[in-house]
Amino acid sequence: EPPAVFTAFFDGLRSFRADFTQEVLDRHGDRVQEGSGEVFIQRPGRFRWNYAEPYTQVILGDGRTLWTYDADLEQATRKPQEEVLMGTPAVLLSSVEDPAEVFQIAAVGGEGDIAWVELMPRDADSQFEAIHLGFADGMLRRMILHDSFGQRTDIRFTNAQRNVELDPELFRFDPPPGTDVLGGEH
Amino acid sequence: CSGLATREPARVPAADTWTLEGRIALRLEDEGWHASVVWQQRPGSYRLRLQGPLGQGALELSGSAAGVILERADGRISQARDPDILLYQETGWQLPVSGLRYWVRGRPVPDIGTRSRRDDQGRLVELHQAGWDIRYTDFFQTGALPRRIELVNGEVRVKLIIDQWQHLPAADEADDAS
Repeated sequence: EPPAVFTAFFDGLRSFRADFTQEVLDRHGDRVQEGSGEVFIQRPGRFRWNYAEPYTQVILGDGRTLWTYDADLEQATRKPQEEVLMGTPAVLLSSVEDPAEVFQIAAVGGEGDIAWVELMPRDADSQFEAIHLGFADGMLRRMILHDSFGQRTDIRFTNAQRNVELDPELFRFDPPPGTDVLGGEH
Repeated sequence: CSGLATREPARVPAADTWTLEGRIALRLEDEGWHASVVWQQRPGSYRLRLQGPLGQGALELSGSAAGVILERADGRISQARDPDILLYQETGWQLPVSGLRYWVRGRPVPDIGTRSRRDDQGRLVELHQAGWDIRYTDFFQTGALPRRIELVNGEVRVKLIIDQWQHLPAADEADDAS
């Protein structure tokens, strides 16, 4: 049975919106990348990560197709969304399937005002070894992705809003003219 | 460790200690893929990390004179002599890693056939080697190191944007500005 702080957030979650900053740390703890932007989630199945820093990238799930776009590279790839394993953070937030089927979920204590919940993928060859979610006063504040290289992607959410009205246009992908839009089967 | 250069070049590049961070996009007909790149080059070895957005599909190529190892996010490991072949066998992506080691530095692969063009500042702007047509479309102000490279080989198109170069202080020297 997932911890109360987890279900308090995820049960009845219809939409979520927040600004985020992201730090990627390698296995030695050195910061290899920083980024920031805005995330929008509309359940079931739709999400949009707008990276403004360090460069303009969009990761968008419109419910059927996952689009990843890089403005400088002028290239977008599309992939059937169901190919994106449940074990990825974007899908975790937007999917309505029971996360407990995909993850072992356990409270792992608090740190300051944050209550931490650990999600261990049940699928052995998931790309992530663990996902840590940090909650404070009923809102998702932190998400840390631990991959099997020992790299950590640490995402902090601010100005977070839950079950707020989101414009459906946000989840429609229309790249600027001149963008190569390609299948991403690999 | 480079599949193309049979003999070590007469003048071993002194600055063979660098790290580049950037992004790469690959296109083959109407299929495509793009990822962030971190490439750490040392005199006798290199580590190349490719990672899709949101940490997806991460993989690491680690190479030395002995050969190259490819490690995937799910822990699977594979090995080969040549990085280009290994990456292609394992992922289907045709990326000229052996050549890129030199091309990213704005240099031709030594000791193999080359056609090239330089601009008025002496910077390599066009290069034809090992079946690849390479164009340098942007440079960094300092050291004239490439910032944007486009490579074409038949149906395969590669775009590489270098966001940052890092050199270990000791290794940096004028050679880079050539």
